[in-house]
Amino acid sequence: MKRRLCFVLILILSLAGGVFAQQRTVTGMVRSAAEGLPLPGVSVVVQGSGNIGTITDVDGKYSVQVPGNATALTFSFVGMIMQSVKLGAGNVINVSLESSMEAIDEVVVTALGIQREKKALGFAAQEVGEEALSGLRETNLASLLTAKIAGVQIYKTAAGTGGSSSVLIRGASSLSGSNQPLYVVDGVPIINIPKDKSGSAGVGGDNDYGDGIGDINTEDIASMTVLKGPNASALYGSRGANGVILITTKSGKKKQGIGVEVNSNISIETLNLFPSFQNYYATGYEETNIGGSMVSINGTYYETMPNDIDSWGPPLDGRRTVVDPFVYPEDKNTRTLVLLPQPEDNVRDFYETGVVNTNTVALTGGTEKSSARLLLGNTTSKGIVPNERIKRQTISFRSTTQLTDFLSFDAKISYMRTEGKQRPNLGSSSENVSYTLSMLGRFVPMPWLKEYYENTGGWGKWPGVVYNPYYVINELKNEDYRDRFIGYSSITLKMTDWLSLTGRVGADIYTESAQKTWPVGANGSANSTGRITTDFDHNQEINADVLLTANKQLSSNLSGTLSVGANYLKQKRDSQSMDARKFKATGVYHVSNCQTFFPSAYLWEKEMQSVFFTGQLAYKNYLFLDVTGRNDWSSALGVNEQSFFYPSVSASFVFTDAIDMDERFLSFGKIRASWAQVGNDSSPYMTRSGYSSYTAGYNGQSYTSKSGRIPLFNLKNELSESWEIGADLRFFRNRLSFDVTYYNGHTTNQIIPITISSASGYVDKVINAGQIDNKGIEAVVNVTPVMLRGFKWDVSANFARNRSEVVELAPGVETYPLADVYPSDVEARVGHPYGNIIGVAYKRAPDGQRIVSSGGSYVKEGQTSVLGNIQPDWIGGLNNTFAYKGLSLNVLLDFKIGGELISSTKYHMTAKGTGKWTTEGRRLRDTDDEGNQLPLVGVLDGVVEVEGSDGTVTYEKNTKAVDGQTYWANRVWSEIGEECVLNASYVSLREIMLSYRFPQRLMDKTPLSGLTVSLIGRNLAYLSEHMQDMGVSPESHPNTDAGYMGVESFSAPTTRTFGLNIKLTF
Amino acid sequence: MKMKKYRFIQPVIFVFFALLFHACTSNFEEINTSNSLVTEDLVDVNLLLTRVQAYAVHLDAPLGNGTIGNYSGMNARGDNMPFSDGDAPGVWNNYYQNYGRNLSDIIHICEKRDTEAGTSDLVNKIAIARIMKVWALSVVTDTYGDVPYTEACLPVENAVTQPKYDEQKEIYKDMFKELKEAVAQMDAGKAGYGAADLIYGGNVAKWTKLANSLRLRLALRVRYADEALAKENMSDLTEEKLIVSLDDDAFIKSATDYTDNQNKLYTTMKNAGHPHESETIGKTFADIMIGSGDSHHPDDPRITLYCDTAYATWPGTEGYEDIENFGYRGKPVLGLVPVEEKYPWGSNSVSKISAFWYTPVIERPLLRSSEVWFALAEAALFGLKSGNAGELYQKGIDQAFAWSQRFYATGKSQLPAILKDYYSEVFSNWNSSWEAAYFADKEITAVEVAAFKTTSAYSLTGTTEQKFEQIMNQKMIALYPDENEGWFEWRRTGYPRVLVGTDSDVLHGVSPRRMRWPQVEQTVNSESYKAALSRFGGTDGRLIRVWWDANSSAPHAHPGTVPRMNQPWVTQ
Repeated sequence: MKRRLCFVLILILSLAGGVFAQQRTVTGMVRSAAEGLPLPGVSVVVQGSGNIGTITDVDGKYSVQVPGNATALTFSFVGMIMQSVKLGAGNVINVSLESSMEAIDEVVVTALGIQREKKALGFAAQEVGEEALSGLRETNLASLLTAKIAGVQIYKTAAGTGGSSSVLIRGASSLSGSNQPLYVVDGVPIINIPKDKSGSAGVGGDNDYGDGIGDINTEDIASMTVLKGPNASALYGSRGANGVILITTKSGKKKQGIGVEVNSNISIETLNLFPSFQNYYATGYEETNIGGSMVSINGTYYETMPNDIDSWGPPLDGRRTVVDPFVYPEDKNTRTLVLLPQPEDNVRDFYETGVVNTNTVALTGGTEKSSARLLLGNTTSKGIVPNERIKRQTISFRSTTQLTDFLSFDAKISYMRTEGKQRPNLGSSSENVSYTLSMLGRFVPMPWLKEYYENTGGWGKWPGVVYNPYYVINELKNEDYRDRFIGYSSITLKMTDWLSLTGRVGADIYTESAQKTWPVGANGSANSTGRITTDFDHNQEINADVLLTANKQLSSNLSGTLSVGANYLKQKRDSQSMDARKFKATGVYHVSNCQTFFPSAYLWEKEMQSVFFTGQLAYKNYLFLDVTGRNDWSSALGVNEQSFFYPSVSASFVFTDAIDMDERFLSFGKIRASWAQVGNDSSPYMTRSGYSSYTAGYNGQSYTSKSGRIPLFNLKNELSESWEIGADLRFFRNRLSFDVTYYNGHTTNQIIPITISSASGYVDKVINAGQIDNKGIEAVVNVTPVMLRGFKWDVSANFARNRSEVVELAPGVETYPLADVYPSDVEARVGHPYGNIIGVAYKRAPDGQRIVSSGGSYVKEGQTSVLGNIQPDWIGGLNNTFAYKGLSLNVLLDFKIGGELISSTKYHMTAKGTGKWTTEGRRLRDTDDEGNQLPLVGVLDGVVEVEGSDGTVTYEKNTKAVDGQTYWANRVWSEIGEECVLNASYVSLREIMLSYRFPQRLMDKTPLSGLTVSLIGRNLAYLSEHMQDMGVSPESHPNTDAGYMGVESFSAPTTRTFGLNIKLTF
Repeated sequence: MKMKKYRFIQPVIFVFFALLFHACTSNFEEINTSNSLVTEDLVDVNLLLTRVQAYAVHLDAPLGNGTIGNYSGMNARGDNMPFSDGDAPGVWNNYYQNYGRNLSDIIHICEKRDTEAGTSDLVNKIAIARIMKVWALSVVTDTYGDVPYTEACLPVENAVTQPKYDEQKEIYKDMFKELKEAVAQMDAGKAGYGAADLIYGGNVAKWTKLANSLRLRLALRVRYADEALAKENMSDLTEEKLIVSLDDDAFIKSATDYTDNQNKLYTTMKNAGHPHESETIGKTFADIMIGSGDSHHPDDPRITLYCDTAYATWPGTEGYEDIENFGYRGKPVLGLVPVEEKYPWGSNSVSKISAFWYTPVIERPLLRSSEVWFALAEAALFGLKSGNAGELYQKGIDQAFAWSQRFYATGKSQLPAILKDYYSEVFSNWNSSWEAAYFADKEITAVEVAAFKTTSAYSLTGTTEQKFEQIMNQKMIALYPDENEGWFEWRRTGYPRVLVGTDSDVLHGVSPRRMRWPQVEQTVNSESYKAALSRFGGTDGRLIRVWWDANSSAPHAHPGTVPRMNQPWVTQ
């Protein structure tokens, strides 16, 4: 990618053209100094006469026309130190390029699509190139960044293949607004909101329809650059406050003729973790079926079994029990069934092996003046939950044309269609099969459930069955599609050789539709008479920019660039939905077949206008100064507060270029510093209050209600301010390099609808207050420990540590809820780090032992306290690459150390007695030979409080035996949040990739120009994880809101992916 | 070549700067106004009242099968864990956020509109909203004790985000004042809410009676804490000013236009396909009606309407034989008890509430005439107000019986379909003749009523305390299924006596005397919360008594012990 960018740059430069005379032809060969091998693709530029250049061919040879006034040839190649050779009399110049490991002259794309030399940047920007992206199939593009960029946390929802992802750069800084970065594709921002505007599916359960970034085909990506702080993104305006992820897609190459790339990938997904179950007790209470009494059937007595779903019942010892008459019994004559343990992993059988198949064909073509690239992509995905299917088709076309030497076009249009069927539900909803399977009575045979569904078509009112999962996957239908166009066209006018004007219009427009149906007889009051919900959303974002850029050598040592621009942004979401219920005719799934209707319509509109400038000064190409400024006018703010301005300044100094140093030791050194502000507006409609009407009414009377939000008429912008310093040091000819950044930022004047006391009569109040600080360190270390005869071992490690503090909320407000997960909450609390987990702890004796009540169950504290924090202490990635000729092996480890999460799975499986851990302290409720009941065995580890006659309290070891339900379920039923707050640390073997690029000499004998075959495994295993004994992954979240990064709630089971990728080029 | 280039520049630069400095923000306010927004000048206050009534009286109201119903013995929770529940944010949030806010708004808007128009056309609307608001907030203060009142639910411009908690005594004084003022304010010549008023359909005179009856209810509530205040507020309440006949009962009928509007028990049953097995009648409640009889021959004929007889298992199912009929057998409130204590009370050996409670259209009470008569009887018994306690007591029972007959009639028309659809699996001998026998069993005939009037339950006898217990027992039957009111009255008087198991949970089988304030108040309203907490001695306990809970000799302790068995019922 870097290679291509340099190349394109050079070509553009060369195309600017000039008149020349007295040409001669210089030829030669370029080799690598280390291996002595020919280097293809090296740029050769003729100095001193404008912009003539070429590149070396596959054999490292070049040939260039050199005019008489030319002075030198420069040879540059990514990963190599640029070399300049003075032109003498000879017509043959051979050079050897030294490896630079990390390209110093790397070009990165920064704000507004401006390409900058990386060494000139005064802020941290980290890039992931094509090599690191291709071949790896994650259906969601953002997930590809996992563990590769320092300071970037990637979270996925637990929705499996089609789910959304969440990216958090340098910690969360906004309380209510989005903490997601802005995604910019080829300079045009795209929409990345989950379908449900409030922030995707919740813990209560809904489907995740994927997000905007998930639509981008990974094969179309040339590079991704992460601009981390507000420093890097000031010019993107408000939405860059959380960082920007710039995506550059591939384009055709000029002068290269026709090229064909074929990429084919097949990967399979298998279950990794699944909750571990106890296998000793059936549903019921008190280790018996007391709910049901005993019944005599044909002279034999049986226990009856109530319809409970709590598994504190009788032992699975082969006893025969009467089930109530609605259940599909094992023995239809006596309506009884035998209680036996099921195979321990019976629930796994419900799931299937997922298959993702992706094929991409790209055609590229280029002439002198223009280039084009057409990409066709097709992905089909079959999830691990039966019947889940996702299809995605992509067509994209990009063309660049140099119309005249002063006018050029660049345009791209992409069409993406995503279709989903039977996407799984999330959270603790009975329509989430992970949830119902976690609750499943342990005597329930899976084949019976299936048979019951197949025979009766019903959802199974079986004891121990919340909702028959076979019914859920077969009868509760959901279907969705998204038709999306992303495109832009830009025109660049080069008015003089130092002044150019670019105009660009970009748009991201999509329509998405989702339909869910429930047949007559489905579970739940709203669904039981049949129900259809349809959502139809139209989203659009239009960006129009003009940018005037002046670029001049001011003196022999000083050059400068100044860009002045304006932007118009319009965002609109138009949503229509219908919730129709009560079918007239069973089995007809159409709104017209319904009797009650709850339509709703929602329009969300926002407009922003901006002017901005950015200026750079470069002194001798080693000292750089950048200044930016932007003024926005946002429609979402208070009438008198719509305008806001924010500046940034940054500087960098490449001291190795300024001072003569021993290159063999310190090959490159740069220090940088920057300071920036970014303003941020809010969601619309926060400034006025009114009444909301309802579709429903009561007995012919309609009704309305006052809005529960107290608005803020004079709503001001939020402001993030941040500074950072950093250093980029490379030693031993770049065999070792460090890039370290320290940043310190705070976000003030947050726009938050804070929850206020209900007794006020209102739910929340919009305020402009509060401050959150984030500071931290990011480091990237690259080492090449071994480089011998074609064998190379590269180690790349990144590390980041973020510390946040909620400095202030609104006056009198100490806390702001970020996630509500019974029985604990995630919140921002003044004086604490962002994302505290708040709940009730165990009451403890002075020595730390838990206190047990006289009834034998744990006692909780009277007040809530901080039980943990969702933020990790540090995160990091460790990537080892071993390369030998065409063969390379890549092993990526992902670290997230520290931090806690609330496990909803643990809560429910402890409450219901299905978790494997709940076997402790229980035993079969049995009688001895004389018919006396055996005592209970569950004695909780803890102490009881004993009050002496003088009122002093002493502690004695608890000896009270209780039943399993009291032993386990009481801790969660009594809302002891501490029980379900778990250490969320992990070390994950994220990725192993073995790939082989067939040597060129073999390719020469085929029509192919390149063939690469890769074997890839992703999310292979947790090398360390604190929840593993529960079979739960710390990485499965119910939605993408920042607060929910500390919540695990009935994940679709974590999967491993194994893939085969074949890449062909012609 | 150069000339050609510059020809481009001028128009381009012009357009560029035109764009740059033409930041047109004039339509921003319009863009930022939601197109669905109904503003204060346009809103119809009738719609606000309907919303409050529909939710407060029906949609959010207890069904008679909730946790709180356990505390007064009305019912018994299937999982035997009634004492585990902590705070009750539902009551708090619903009342303040949904009812209080909208009612305040009605008052605020109507006063503003009257002032602007220079008229007083909207006085009835204002008065009715004030009455509804007193009712709503009385439930809040009775549930928690000290709660935000003066600073609660103010119009949006003056909203107090961290309202202080007022002392219950002050709240009561203001509620009395509000009720009096609302009655004085009402003008029979002016309009009410018409059909938007789901309770009285716009009948203003009936609202006067409701306001007065509510004042009587609240006056009685404070009698142990401030007898003078109680007396003062009862003195002017003569029978004609009160709800004394069924015609004036304040209630809302559930509706069938939307699933949510129908009786929720019906909806639940419909989803499950059968009546819920843990909708069990409380032992306290059943025993009052069994009276001096036995479980097969109860004194009170209304018991057949309230619940069914209990069988050891689902009766009549093919393959089952020798079913034991336990007759009417309520379930005690258990809590965390040893298994032996639970054995006798398996869900199939206790009485379930009858099918009448599952009909889609059912009355959801706010205040009924029987309650008023029992209140007058209590006031007379204790000399708070003149009158013959014994006669008033009988009028209360008569009204309660009259209500039961109305309940029977409303239910009967809806029941055949329900029995067929949901009970035919349970009662496999269901057919039309069975159905006729069923209705004959459930109907309260004149003969049965006459027989009941001969029992000791119908006449007030014994010591004052015994008489009081009789009144309260009958009042409990009449209040069903208003769990809240049942619990408030139990807390105030200690009656009816509720049998509780040897619960080893946190409260040790003692029924709560208040609910804890919602946990979230500790953080969103911490100063006010702490101030209120200090008045409660620093703890937010469920056993702390609210201001009006001041009768130290009330018999709150539960009587006797729950019978135990060594194994579940075995039918012979």
